[in-house]
Amino acid sequence: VPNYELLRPHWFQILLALAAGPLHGTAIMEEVLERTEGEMKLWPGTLYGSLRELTHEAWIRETDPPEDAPTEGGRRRFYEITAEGHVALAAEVDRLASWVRVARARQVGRGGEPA
Amino acid sequence: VSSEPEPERDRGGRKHAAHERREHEGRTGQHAARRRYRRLLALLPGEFRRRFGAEMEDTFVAHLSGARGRASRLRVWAAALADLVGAAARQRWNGDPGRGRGAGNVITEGGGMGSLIQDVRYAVRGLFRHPLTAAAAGVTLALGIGAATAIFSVVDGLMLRPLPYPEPDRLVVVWAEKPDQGWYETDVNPADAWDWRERAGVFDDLAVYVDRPMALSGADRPDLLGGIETTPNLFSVLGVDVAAGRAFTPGDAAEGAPGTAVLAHGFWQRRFGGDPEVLGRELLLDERPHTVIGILPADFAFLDESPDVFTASRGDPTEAARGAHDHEAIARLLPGVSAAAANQAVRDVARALQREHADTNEGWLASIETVRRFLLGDIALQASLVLAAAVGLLLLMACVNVANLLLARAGARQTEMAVRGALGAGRGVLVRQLLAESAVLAAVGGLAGVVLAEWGRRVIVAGLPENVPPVFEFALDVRVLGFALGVTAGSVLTFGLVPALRTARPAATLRTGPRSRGSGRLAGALVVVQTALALLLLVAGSVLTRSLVALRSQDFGWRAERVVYLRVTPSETRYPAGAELDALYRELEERLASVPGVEGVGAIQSAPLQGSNWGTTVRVAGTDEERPARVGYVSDGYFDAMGIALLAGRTVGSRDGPDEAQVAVVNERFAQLYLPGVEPVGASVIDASGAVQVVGLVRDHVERGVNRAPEPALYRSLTQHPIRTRTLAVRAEGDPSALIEVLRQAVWSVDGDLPVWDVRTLADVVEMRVGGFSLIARLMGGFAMLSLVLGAVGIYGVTAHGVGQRRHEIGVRMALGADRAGVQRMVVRQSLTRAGLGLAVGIALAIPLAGALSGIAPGVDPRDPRLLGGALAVLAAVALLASWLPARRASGVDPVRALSAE
Repeated sequence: VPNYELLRPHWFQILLALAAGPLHGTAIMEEVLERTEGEMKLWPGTLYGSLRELTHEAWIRETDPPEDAPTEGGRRRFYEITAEGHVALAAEVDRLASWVRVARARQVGRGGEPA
Repeated sequence: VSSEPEPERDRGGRKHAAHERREHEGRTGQHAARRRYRRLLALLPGEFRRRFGAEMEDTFVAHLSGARGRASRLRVWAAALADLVGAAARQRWNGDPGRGRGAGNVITEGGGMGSLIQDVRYAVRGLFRHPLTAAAAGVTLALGIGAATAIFSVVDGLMLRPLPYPEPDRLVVVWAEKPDQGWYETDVNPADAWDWRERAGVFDDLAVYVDRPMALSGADRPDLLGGIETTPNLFSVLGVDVAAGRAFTPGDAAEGAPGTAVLAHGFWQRRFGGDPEVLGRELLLDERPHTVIGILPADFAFLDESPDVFTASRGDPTEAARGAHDHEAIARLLPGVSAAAANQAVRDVARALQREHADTNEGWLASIETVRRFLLGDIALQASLVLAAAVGLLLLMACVNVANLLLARAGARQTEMAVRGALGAGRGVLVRQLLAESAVLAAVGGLAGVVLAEWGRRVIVAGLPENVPPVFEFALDVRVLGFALGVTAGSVLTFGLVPALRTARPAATLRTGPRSRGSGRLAGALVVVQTALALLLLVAGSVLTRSLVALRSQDFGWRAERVVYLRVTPSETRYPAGAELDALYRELEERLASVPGVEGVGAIQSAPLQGSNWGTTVRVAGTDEERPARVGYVSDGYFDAMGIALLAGRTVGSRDGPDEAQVAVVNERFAQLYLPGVEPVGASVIDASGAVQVVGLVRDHVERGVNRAPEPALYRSLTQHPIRTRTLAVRAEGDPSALIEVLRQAVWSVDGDLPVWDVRTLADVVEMRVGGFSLIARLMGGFAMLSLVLGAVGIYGVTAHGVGQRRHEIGVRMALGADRAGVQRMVVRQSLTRAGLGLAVGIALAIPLAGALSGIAPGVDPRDPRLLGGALAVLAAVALLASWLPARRASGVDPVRALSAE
């Protein structure tokens, strides 16, 4: 089993964004920004560097733009998550979930507050 | 964590948002931001930038459009920049993940952080491949940069660093002058000065002061203090406040006000151990009580002096008698007034005063000099410029040498570069890498240079003569380090760019092999430049060295070796009149003469090289022309004690009482200029005191400065003109320094409260006066030697490299029958042709240069052909040697091997 514990936070968020369907770079950034309520800002260098590395890992791949999506003159590349990417993301989610369970059992965090 | 999927969202396009964004861009000028960001993308490797650049711009603009307000936009910019730098470094170190990790050795296009690091790694490796060349280049650069930085630290201290007063450029010194007498920059009259202050309309304020040695008595040890008696506004003119207590107020100058004194920090420490309780204490200065009211800050320096104590002058300057010029004036100009305008304004007032006070002010004008220029003096100014120019030339030579070394290597590396070019590295990349090598070299040379500079600065500052004004400060600080950095960067471009451009030439080399006639020509041109520069520095070095020798070995007209000076100021209350003074000095001279080991004693109001400038005007009886003359007041034994030869007649002194006829001794120059064709002894001249009989003639001797020719001088009797402060000149049988303490005690055995100061051997006084010239000459001599070495290395390097390049041709020549001697002659001839061209250029430049040196090279005619000839001969010999060594190697070429190497 691959060791997914090294999954970097922004890789995790990018994979999570793509889990719902293909997106282009700026859209990934905006989705992550909104979803994390401004906590994670994916700056361009980090974002596209990660997209290249994730492509190299074969966890995502470039894909054709969805129909009627504006491509800004074809310069927008869309990415979709691959099967391996799903496995990696799921493993990470399970790992996080197991830690969350432990934490809640110890009544840490809002979800663990005594009723 | 809320991460509900939103399948219905407009996922790919987000048309609405995009539209809004574009509108926003138009509104707030985010096109400009996009352009600016695009420029930053140059940090990234080209491949990455081409693939993602456009989208990165979009993403960045999206970030920026979310920012409201200037501060938040700035934060976006900062974060984006940090992100880009990080990404650039990651992309470069890791390379394209598609090509595998560790691909950083692949040369990629682009600029910025990552590639910079890579270039530096390459450069260091490249330099280590040729450690000898690199070391030679590094040492050369370190010497050049070190010398330049050390000299800059001194020039900076003298000429650039602001003086330690607020708005120092508004401070000026005001002088009186009387052009019809040839008197310039002389002391001012307080009443005149106050009129300039009130009426010129250019001064914020003006202070008048006078140097007044003050005897401190009533304490355990009598002391003569350096004192300044000043109008109470001096400190406010300077813009300086006291560190403790208070400064003077106008009340301190009122008639009948109690005496007040402000102490210099150094004196307060030395005499009172820094005791703050001294404030309010009473000091007996010249036997009058003065209350200490203030202490000056430790960093306060008073122009070119180091006074111990300041007192307020009594009375209104306007009430001073006009005609007496015995004060100095310093002023602060109104903001925006130039020194030239102020000069014009004070001259206008001075002209008006000539009319209003015709009896006292006739012919008197005024002039203004900036404080810096006053402090610096002409010689230091010229020396600074000459040394700065010299060190600039030296640095240029060092750069030329390094360029030569790199050019030589460039030839050898053309194949390497061609291969790299063929493998896809663009010319830009190659040039950048070669420049990176230069930069690494310069950085190492620069660092070592700064270390050398600090050492050099210490040596130079230690060698500065004692009379350098204390306001100047010399430090290796941010400014100087900034200069070193600038010099280093400049030298990278000077020595790095040309070889880099040459080496990274198009890849045609790959076919023809590494042979470059062009680089030979360029190197040849550099040799010409270098030889010319070396000649200039050699000429300057020999002119200044010769001048120093001339100064030291000149015939002063007196004998410096065995004389000691002691300066004495008897107090006015104890010795009020001429008779008491005369008796005191007679006793002092007798007591000193009786000290074992003393051969002779005499007194003068100010001895040679003590800086006196006393002058008078005389008229030869029977003519009506007023002539300027230097005047000295002497006692019987003075000329004998100094070893000044009496050529005719007698000396003047105690036998010439106040009631006897006025008599004088003149020097040879006076006799030649003013009494031509007349027997000087027995002639009569008229000065302010009436008719004066010339009774003696003495040899010309140096008085004003080691670099000044003797002026016409008149020596009067101290008995007829009892000047209070005098220098006693004592001639010893042997080493005079052994006598100093005994002589001091002998003075105190006459009067235990008599302040004795400035006790020095005349040899020390001479050394102090020569010190500045000596420093300049030694530095210039050092630069000349360095330039000789650099020049030799340059000629050798270029010739040797040329021989290496021409092995094939030489082989052909020898195969065709040329003999070894013929080959040697050919190589030497070509090398010397270049050097000869350089010498010709150098001669053309050396002639005006030598003229420029005349001010700081007294005692030598810089146009003396022997100086240029000597420098030419030395340089030609060095050039010959530096050419012959490689030529000998060339003649050892084996034609068979040279030809078969093709």
